[in-house]
Amino acid sequence: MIRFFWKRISASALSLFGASLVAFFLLRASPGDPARLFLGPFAGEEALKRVRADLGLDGSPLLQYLIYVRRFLAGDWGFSYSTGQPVATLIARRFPATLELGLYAFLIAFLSALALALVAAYRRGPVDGTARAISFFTMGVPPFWFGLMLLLMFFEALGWLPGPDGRLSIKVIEPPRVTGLLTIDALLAGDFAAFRDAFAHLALPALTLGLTPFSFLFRLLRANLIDVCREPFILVARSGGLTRWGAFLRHALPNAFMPTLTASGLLFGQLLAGSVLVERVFVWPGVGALVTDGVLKQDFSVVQAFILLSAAIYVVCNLIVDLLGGVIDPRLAVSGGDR
Amino acid sequence: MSDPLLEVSNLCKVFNFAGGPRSSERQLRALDGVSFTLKRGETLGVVGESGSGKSTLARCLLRLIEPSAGSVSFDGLDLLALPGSELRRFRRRMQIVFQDATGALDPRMTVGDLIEEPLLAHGIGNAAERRRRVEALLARISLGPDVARRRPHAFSGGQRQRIGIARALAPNPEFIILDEPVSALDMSIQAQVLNLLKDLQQELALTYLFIVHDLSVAEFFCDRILVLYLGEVMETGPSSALFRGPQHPYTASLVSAIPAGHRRERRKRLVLQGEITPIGANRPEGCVFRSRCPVGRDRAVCAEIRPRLQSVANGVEVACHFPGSLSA
Amino acid sequence: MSDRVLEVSGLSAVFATREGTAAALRDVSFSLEAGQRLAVVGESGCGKSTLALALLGLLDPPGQMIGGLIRLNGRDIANLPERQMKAIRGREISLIFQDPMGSLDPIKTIGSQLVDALRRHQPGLARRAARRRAVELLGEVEIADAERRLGDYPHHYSGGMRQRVMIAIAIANNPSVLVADEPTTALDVTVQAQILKLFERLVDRRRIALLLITHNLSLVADFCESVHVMYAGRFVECGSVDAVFNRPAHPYTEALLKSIPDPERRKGRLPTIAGLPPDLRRLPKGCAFEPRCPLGNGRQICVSVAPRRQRVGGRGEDASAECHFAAEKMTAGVVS
Repeated sequence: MIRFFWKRISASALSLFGASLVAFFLLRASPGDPARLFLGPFAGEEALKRVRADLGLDGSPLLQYLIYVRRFLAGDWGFSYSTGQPVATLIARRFPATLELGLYAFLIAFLSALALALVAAYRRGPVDGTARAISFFTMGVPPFWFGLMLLLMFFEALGWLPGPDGRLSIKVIEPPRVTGLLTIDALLAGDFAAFRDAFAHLALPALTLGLTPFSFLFRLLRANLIDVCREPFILVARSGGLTRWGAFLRHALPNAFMPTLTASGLLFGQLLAGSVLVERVFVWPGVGALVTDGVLKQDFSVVQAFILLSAAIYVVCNLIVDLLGGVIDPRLAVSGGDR
Repeated sequence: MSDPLLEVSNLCKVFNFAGGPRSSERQLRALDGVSFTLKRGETLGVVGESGSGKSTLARCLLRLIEPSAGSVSFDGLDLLALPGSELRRFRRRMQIVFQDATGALDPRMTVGDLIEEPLLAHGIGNAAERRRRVEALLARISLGPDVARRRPHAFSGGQRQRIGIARALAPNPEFIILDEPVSALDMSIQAQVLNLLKDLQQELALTYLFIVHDLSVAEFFCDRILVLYLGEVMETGPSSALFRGPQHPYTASLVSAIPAGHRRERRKRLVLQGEITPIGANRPEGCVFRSRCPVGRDRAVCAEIRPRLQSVANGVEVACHFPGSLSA
Repeated sequence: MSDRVLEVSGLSAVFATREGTAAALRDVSFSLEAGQRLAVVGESGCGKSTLALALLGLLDPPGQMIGGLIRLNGRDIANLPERQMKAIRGREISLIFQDPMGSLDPIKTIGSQLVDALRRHQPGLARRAARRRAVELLGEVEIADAERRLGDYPHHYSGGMRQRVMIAIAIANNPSVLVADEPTTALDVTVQAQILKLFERLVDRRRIALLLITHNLSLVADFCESVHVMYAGRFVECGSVDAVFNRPAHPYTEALLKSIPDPERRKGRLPTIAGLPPDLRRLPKGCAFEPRCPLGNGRQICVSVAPRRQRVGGRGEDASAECHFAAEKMTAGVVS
């Protein structure tokens, strides 16, 4: 088992290393002169050279790469010329918003997919058909349209939920920042009004963002459940006295869970990397909007930092999922993880 | 023609798996020192349980996997030395029928395409000739020509097995390896397929290598039998001799494990202890069968010296220090 | 009269398919006494696995039981609601399946699966006591080093060992009836012999009634006292093993016996049964075996009248065959 863990961790480290290389070199290959963009069209050659040195664009690539890595690890993620702030600060300010939204979206998607898949796989027949129809719908619907529709219904027409004005109503004061996740911070501070408000603001965007992951997770889990139900040991469990539902929960679900777990890791990583369109629709101050701006304005440092950050998130999510998998399904650990 | 069609000498195969920190753990000795000859028109049965190496043997003979050591000579040709292009030409003459007919037949191809495939692969005949041959083969296995358009899943296990046989016959081979062709079939279907194989052998002067775990089928169908255990030859000889008077304790236990059926007297049951444990990198000293052998379990010579194949009466060869100890 | 633990009478079941309803079990009747070993023999599609499932009430749609009585330990369980049925499965009647490789939950330890089985029907049993019992059970099925093995996962085990674990689970709560559906088919020959010997010991020691379902006729002769031969959902012949094997009354049994390679018989072509098993959706009104029968093919009575069970004398209790010409066959002497 230790060997399995070790293999997985070193594989992750290798992936991170690869991602950093990509972030570094690919960006250098892209057209446009970041220094010039930074300083504007009237800058002199001297200034340009200085900025280039700052950005690490001169000198041997290897040396620059090492400097870049060292700076990154020290917390210096570069400077965003378009906003005039250090990238680290920008991301630190905006990431919690994306994280909170991603968490809730994932939770909604996962739990509803789980519930629906259980019912669909167990009952089959028309119930299953309806469930699959729902999943097709959610798969095909563009999230931003869905978000707008939700806003139309619940904000505009019914007035039950707040509109697209960010994470908190203007009137409500932000609770003291502990984690950056407003709902958690509000609970920690005992500020239930803020909690309710933050939660209400999260509802529609989380539903919107969770739409596509939900459909994917549902289909995956349902298919796995149906496959596992065909295995002999399910019938064996029933012959020992378990009801059909009992055998389904105790034996089919844990076995079907593995591939879904892996997919969940990927999906969660994706959610954390920020969703631009949803953030735009709900005016959510997250990382997605930040990075699109960075790309459009060719704000070099922002994009570079973001590539590395999202790669790191992916790798960590996958690592956690892999390690969990090894614990749940001992067969994976035995083979040293060589599937 | 008394020269043998197939001569196998000291065939060995070791599988290596992706090495961990201790690579010695990740080896599997599938075959070790297997030698035998096969005369034209003969049927040799290879008998063994799981882990005996019989499937590995089949694949090595066709060079579907490469042996680690030893030699295989087919009609005088050194098979292992053949370069790729000539190997393909030689494959026309040697075919294989697999146990799992369902798995061996591509479910997306029609039966006609499946049988035609070897003809295409070896460039035999033009389109019209191939079609005629496919029809003739289908008739030979007692399936009508309209079958050619359908897919394998529409047929029963026995029919699929016959399709597999037709496919093997397509390029007109001299030698067919049958890898457990009837093990998965019901008794009456098994009888049909065995009859078909026997008829074909007579009509087409075929030579068979018949891999099987059911010794009574082996005794019925084969002229000679080779008994394998963990990749080594335990005993070999004419099938009736082996069956009536098994010399090796393992053969004796296999014979005794055959259910008596409706015969009146029941043989004394010889039940082996323990199970087959595959051999890793280090072959244990002495006889591979010793740990389960009622005769040799506690004998020093069995623990220290590996028995070599020696001739005893009736054309039988045994690898045992105490042959004949368990004959009834 | 010894205790009858299982009495089945008129059991019938069907399968709904797109092209009609297939009659999988047709009026099946038999009984089992404690400690008795009865074999049900037949080829694929004859309905023997359906019988096993029906006995445990595990016949799921599209299969359905449509009639009959199943009396287990005096109680009719054929139409019992699921709530009560689940208390009986694994407790009074157990089932062992063919495929040892897929029969155990791959992500749970052997020990936990055994303990689960024990505590399902003995809810008062404490965990530690259940573990002790599990170790005892493993010992009973001859698995060495049982204490340590509780923490193993199924993939650590070979097919033979997994089957032993299956048997341990099946007998954990001391059932009266054990139904074994092809328990040794997937195993090596020498392991088969071991497992059968184990069965013998357990069944004798605990006085369990064993229903052995198999397609392997030879196995039956060695191991069971009585045999029922199944064809197209019906028992076409029943009797003691010695009688049925040495003097079969039904042409199907006879043909089946002849198709087994027998080293003591002269070599040559094996006699086979012409044709294929019948389509269970379109069974003839006469004898289902008639199209393939060397004796009855084409005969008017075989084509139009379904044969009724006829007692065949001198072959033990319950000896019978469903053939218009059974008596004729018997009096004509031993058929070669």
